[in-house]
Amino acid sequence: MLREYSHHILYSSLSFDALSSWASLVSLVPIEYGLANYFPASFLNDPHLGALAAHTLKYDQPYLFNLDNGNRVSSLVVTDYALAGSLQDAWGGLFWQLRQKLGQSAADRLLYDTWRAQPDESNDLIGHRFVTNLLSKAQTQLGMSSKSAVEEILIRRGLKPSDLATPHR
Amino acid sequence: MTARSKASDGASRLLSLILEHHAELELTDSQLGALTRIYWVDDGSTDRSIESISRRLSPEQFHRALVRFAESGTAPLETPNTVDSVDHLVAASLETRTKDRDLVEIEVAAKVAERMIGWARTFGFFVAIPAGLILLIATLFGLSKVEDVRNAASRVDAKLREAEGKLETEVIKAQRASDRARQILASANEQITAVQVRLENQAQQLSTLDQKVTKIAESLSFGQATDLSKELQQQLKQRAAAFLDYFEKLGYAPKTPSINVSTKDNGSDSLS
Repeated sequence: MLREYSHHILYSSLSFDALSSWASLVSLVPIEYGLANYFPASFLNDPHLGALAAHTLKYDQPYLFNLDNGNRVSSLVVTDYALAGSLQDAWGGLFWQLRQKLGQSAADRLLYDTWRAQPDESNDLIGHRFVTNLLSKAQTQLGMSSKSAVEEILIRRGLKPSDLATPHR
Repeated sequence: MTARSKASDGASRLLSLILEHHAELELTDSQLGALTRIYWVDDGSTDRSIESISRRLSPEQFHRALVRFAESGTAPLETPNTVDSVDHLVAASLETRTKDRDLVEIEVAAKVAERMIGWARTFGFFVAIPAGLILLIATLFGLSKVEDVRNAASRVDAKLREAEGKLETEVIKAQRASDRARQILASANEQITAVQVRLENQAQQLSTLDQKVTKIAESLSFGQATDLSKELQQQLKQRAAAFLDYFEKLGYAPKTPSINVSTKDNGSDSLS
């Protein structure tokens, strides 16, 4: 339920109505999914989500989502929902790793501020814009060393150095 | 007796007669002095001849002397009387001279004194009297002024004492007013502090109430058809409220009044 509540909070925190153009903003989905998993996990201080649902649905594993993973973000541009669904675990794992590095309070605020500052971009720029904003806010809110730590995690999670540069239209 | 001594004797008698009648013959002082010296100094250095005597007299005086000498030729000359007479004459002459000199000195002194007195009178008239009058007026005026100043000083002293008394009274009043104001200020500060505390408490209560209202506004809403138990619904509501509080601390502001919770599947393309 907290995950579904997170969807509501995250979309209502944007400055534009993402749900109205949801079909054309597929690249936003894996990031939003990752955050919708991350915030309940951070709130509960547990990277494993959906234990009750997994038990009720008789899943093979005792949870629906595990953020303590090593999945890589293979692409910032997503064009289909199948890829979006598979990347949500990678983004959730990336965010959880940031929390482990920066601490809960700093990571929670950094990720929420980056998300709600997300502009209404075209689909091919959504992921790129989120990454560069994340680095910018890491520097302004937490300092250069934290920004470097975030960069290292992003690279380790599969992003290319060019993905970290500010996008140009 | 020789011829010279006879002649000298005659000259002596003439000289004696001249000296005796020097006033009558109108002898001058110098003539009288010279003849007196010839008469008394008989040491041979002086010429006691008739000619010598005549040189010291004017022709008229000598003539008159001879006439007188001739007229006195019948009466014998008594040498001792003549000597006494000459002595007497000399003394009288000296006395007269001396007396005249004293008179002159006295007169001079008198004139000096008289002139000094005149000057003193002039000085007194033109200087001393006006100065005295001025001094007198000034003294009277000064005394009057001193008295005035003294009176004025007394009045000023009295006024100063009166002012000091008033000032002390006003200072005491001001002190009392200041104490009163300080007490009022202290009381006001206490009241302000109490009001501030009350306001802070009310603000806190309002904030808490606002949070409760907000949470109520976005509280979960379960439909009539939900199959969740009331107990589970309550647990979910409490968990949702805590999660909302967590997000609000991150800066989230609720924008919807309520969230509908459904356990039904809306389809495969819905968010989950």
